[in-house]
Amino acid sequence: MATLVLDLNSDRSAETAVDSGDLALAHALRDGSEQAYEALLLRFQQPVYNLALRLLNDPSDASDVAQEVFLKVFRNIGHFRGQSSLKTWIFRITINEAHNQRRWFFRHRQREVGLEDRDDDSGYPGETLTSGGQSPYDYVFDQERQELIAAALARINPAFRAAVILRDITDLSYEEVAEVLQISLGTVKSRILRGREALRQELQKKMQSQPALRLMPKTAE
Amino acid sequence: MSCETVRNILSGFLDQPMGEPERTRVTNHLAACRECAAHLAELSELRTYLRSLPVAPMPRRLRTELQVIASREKARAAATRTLSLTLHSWIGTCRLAIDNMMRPMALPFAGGLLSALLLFGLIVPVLGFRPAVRNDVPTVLYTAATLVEVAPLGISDDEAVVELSVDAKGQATDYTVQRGEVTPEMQADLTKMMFFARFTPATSFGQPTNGKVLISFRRVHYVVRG
Repeated sequence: MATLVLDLNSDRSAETAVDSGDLALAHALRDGSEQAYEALLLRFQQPVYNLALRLLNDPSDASDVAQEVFLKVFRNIGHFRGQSSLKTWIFRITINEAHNQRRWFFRHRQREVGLEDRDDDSGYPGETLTSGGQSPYDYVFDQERQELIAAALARINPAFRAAVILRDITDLSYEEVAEVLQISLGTVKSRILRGREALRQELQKKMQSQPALRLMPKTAE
Repeated sequence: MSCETVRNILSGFLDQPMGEPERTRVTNHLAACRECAAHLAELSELRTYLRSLPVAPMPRRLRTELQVIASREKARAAATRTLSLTLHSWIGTCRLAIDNMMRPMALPFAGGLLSALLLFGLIVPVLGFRPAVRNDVPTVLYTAATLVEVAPLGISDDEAVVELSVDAKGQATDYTVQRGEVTPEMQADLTKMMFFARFTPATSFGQPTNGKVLISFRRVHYVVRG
């Protein structure tokens, strides 16, 4: 019998409350504190890059977006009034910048081939291994599955993709997703539902040719 | 509850709390419908996979670039805090921009100027410029009066050196004997000569002016043979 893994995040709404630490950090940034700049980068550079990468599926574009995001954050920190959390504020800028980048890409760079060398530390498998105890078979299986999911994610409607990424990868609550995307809670629910469904169908199409990677409900032990 | 209704709320069922009556209805449906239960299991598995996607490591270059952006923005924010700091920063920026613009030009500019001077110095003497007008007035400050023509009149046998005063019209107006002795005959001859001789007046800055001409009278003997 299939086991239903239910995640009832009843405490998620508490996360939407503005953290006093966010306001303190914003004040410190306005005052020009060096530690505040460091702290902001330390806290948000990886999530911002990861979100941009998942939205655009291109490391180079994600790097560009991350730079633009932090430039805007540093320049507009004076406009942050604490009406939302710093995280949702920064993620909203990231979503907008990724959207601009995608539009720019379709206009100008669609047929360009990048000449940049890959950084020696990006995409290197040694740093993405999550479990030292994995067998080579499991490792390859995981890699292929991750690539399939990333590719399927890139093919679904960008509006649905942003909602699914914010909910399932960035782990924001529905309320936070609504704040980031500046849409109503009902629209968030609808987009997540349709995004997941589109993703499931995309994966099913791919997995018909690769049965070993089929989504398998976990059985109760 | 129909399968379609259940599938429309399954995503929310996974994530969010639901009222107890609705939750019970969905659970009952899932217990009875294998397809919807499998659908929910797939969605749950999909979500697990999405959550297990690895965090892509940031490129090292991006870390450095973000540090640079932070540092630059911090300096910019500090520079615009007061009016004097803004002005100071603006002046510094302008000075830096001018330096950056002029420094690469300094060496080529100096080299070009020296080369031009050297070439000019070498070429100009070779060209040998000549005046286009023959009787052009020299542009020196002062030119002396000169004799153009003397009347063909005989002069007594005495030798003498006479200084003639020539006016701006080229006429001799007076004379002074510098050497020798002037006899009454010679005085008469000199008066005739002054009357008929023509002179080029002296010039000062190109304008005719009074001047002096020194004339030497000398005896000449012609021996005719045959």
